[in-house]
Amino acid sequence: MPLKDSLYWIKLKGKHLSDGIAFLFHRLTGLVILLYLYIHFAALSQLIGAQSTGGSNFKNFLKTVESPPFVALDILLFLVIFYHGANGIRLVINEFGIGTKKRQLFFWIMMALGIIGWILLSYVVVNAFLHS
Amino acid sequence: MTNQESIKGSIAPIAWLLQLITAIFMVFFLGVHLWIMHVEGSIELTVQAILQRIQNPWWKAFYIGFLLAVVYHGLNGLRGIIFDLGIKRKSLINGILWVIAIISIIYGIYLLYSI
Repeated sequence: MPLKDSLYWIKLKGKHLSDGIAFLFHRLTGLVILLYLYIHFAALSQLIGAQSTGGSNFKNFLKTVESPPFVALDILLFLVIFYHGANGIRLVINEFGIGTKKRQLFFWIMMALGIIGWILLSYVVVNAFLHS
Repeated sequence: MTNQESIKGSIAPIAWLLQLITAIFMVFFLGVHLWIMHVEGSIELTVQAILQRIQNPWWKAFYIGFLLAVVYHGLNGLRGIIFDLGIKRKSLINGILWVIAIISIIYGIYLLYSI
């Protein structure tokens, strides 16, 4: 397959927001989440043996991540997750042939739900951080 | 519907179906995980609370299910992206991703039982 054809999903020209562009962002956010999974594994490895040691390594790690730059990164990660989740639910439902006739409307409903979820979770996390 | 938003044509039908099934499971697993860690846990996310939870066999089973779903969904999605690039050595890509998946699952389970 020629390279220009194989990269069809990454091109924006001539695509609708609720169609190809949403799918492009779905894939990009998927890659970010996959990368984060392995960063998460690395972070959790500091809990190995914590039952006997009391988890001093992880306590130090928690002190580092409970700081404004990491909270900001958490909020960004939540946005990535909520986008991927909301758009993913739409794609799964679409695969069953539901909501395909009103794609634009369905897309925006799912985006609205995703943004509401993101704002609520971000509020809880920021609030907890400010009061810790 | 247009096929621009589906990986149906990029991977085998069974892999596509499993991608949908794991997606549904992921909504549940990730939803519970985010709730426990950031809503309930936001009051006090401590090492003690994590250790206490992880000793519960039901939570262990939950996280093993989560691990299987997230590794399959993530790496199968990556496979769809790589295949869409037009790479011809699909068997090699499949092999590499299976090795990464197995190592990820073994390491994840090791983490659960070594904490």
